[in-house]
Amino acid sequence: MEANSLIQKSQKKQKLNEQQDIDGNSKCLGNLPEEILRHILSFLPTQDAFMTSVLSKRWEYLWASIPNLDFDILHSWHPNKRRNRTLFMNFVDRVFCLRDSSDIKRFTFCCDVLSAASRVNTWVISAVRHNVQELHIELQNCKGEFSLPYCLFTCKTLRSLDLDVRCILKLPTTVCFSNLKILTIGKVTFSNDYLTHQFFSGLPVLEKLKLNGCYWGGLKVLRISGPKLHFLRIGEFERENLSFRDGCQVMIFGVSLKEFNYCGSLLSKYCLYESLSLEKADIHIGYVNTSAQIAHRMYKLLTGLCNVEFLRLSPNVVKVLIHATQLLPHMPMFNNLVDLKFSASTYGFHFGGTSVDLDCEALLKILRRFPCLENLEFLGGLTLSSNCEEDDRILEPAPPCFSSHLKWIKVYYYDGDKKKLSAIKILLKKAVVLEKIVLISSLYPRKNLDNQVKVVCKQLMELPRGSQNCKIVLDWYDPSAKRREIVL
Amino acid sequence: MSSTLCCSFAKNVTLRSSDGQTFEVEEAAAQVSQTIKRMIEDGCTGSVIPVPNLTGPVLALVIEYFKKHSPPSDGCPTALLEMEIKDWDAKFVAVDNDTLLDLTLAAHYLEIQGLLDLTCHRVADILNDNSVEKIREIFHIKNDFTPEEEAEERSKIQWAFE
Repeated sequence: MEANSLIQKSQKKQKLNEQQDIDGNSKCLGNLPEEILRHILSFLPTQDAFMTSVLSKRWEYLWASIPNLDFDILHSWHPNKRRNRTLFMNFVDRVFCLRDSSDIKRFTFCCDVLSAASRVNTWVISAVRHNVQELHIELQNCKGEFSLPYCLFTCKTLRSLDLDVRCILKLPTTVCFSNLKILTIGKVTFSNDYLTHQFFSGLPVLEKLKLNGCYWGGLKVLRISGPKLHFLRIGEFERENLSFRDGCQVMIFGVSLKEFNYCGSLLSKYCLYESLSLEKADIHIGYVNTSAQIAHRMYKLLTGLCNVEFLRLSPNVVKVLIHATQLLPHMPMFNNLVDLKFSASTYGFHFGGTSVDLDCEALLKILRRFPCLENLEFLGGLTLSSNCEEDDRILEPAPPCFSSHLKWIKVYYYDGDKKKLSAIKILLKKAVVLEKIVLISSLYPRKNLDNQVKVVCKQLMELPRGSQNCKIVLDWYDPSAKRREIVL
Repeated sequence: MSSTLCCSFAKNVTLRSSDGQTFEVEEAAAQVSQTIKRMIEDGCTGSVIPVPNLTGPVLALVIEYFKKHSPPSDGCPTALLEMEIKDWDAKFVAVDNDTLLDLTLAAHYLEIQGLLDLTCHRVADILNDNSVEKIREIFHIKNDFTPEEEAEERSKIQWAFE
């Protein structure tokens, strides 16, 4: 309130002085100190900052010192912008030509370059000379090999590098990113064992590494290491003719690694070493290849994750492991693991069942390796592969965590279907220290919903519970799409 | 007894604007300004601190900002408080353009980085939302290009104008 009345006062005063303001231009934006004007420009998108050059002569070259240079015609919604590629390239040229000596904080360049890659290199050199801290280059339609200026690979100021180029990247022999904390590489093909090794060895302070859709199928070994690396994500290269033969050996040495994400089809052999500090892992398998070879790769990958506290697996992980059931008893114990989730996500075109089959032998065998598991979730649902609910062999003998630690279970997409009910029945019977099982209903608001809920509740109430203190919670949406909960 | 308690609780300083208006404000709040902080450290607290570059109404607004942004007496600011301040900030700079420029200059002079970022960001948003002609009008910028010069300037950055 007070602020408002004050503003009104100052407005009154301005009215009195209006004539003077316009004549003397005392309230003109251009009268602010240059330092402030530059600060204002630093908040503008690059392109709008350039537009200010036509305001007046004072503004003509102010933009020459803006800290962030973002040029992107790939993700521009404007069709004209995409068409005028030559105009765009000339524009970027001009910006670098007229640049003053102030530091460039960020340089982004996203374009389909065709044959203009050498110009990109000139700009990158200029950015490096201006002590660039963040560099993001995305080039489409690159052909054959692509090289970046060698001075980039020893740049001392670079903190973040994001490179997205679908071609072979020519690497230098000397790499030392002495300040690089975040590295993201997309679609790049690594073709030379020695140079690739040199590249991944030159990252002494790297903390975050993301490899999205890169290809290293031609390498024998890819060694990823970093004393400070705490986050690693590998999204595997996907193409139509998957080749699983002679996969590259990807060796990950993560002494500081806390989080590891993998998404792919195990085209390479992955293994983590020295990953004692690993806390979280997320493994998503896209295309399922049920051969003993791939099952073995899955087994090796899981083996390196044995220190995690939180683990998220896609249902396909269990499917792949079917051919490794004889190996699973040899897997190390996951003594720290308290939280296991089976994800529901379906990446890309790999649709299919996202529910987990409780009677799958591989599931039982991996659960046996998780002695301290407290929380278990099935985000894509839980069912049985056949109508064998009376089969006593399912989950038998029960995994150790079922009798000592497992307190909470959550199952999504529950609709009271016979097989799903049988799966819940088995869990309730075997989990003898269970405190709560939550079933998220997939019953949609429609006619007779109340009736259906009643039927589902009745079925659940009748199930024998191995744990005296166990609560069953059914969670559903009522006809007004409000979340409701019943505790049974 | 009670008066000494009061003093140790909230020490006040007096600020005087260019047009002679005086404002009393808590010392801790006024130290949001690096310039005032230095003056207090140099022992200016006894007398009135002159702020000759700011008129009364602008100084009053800046003091509103001080009060909202003075460090909380009980430890770390919570996320909720931060959100509330963010909302308050957005309303605070939703003023007429001349006042906005006054606040920008005040923030620069008094070295209040938070307020300077806030006002500059707001000016940038206005630049972003308007055409060149409109911007000249809003901020009283005189176009000193000849028509030929302006056409040439525009052609140089034609790509950005597309």
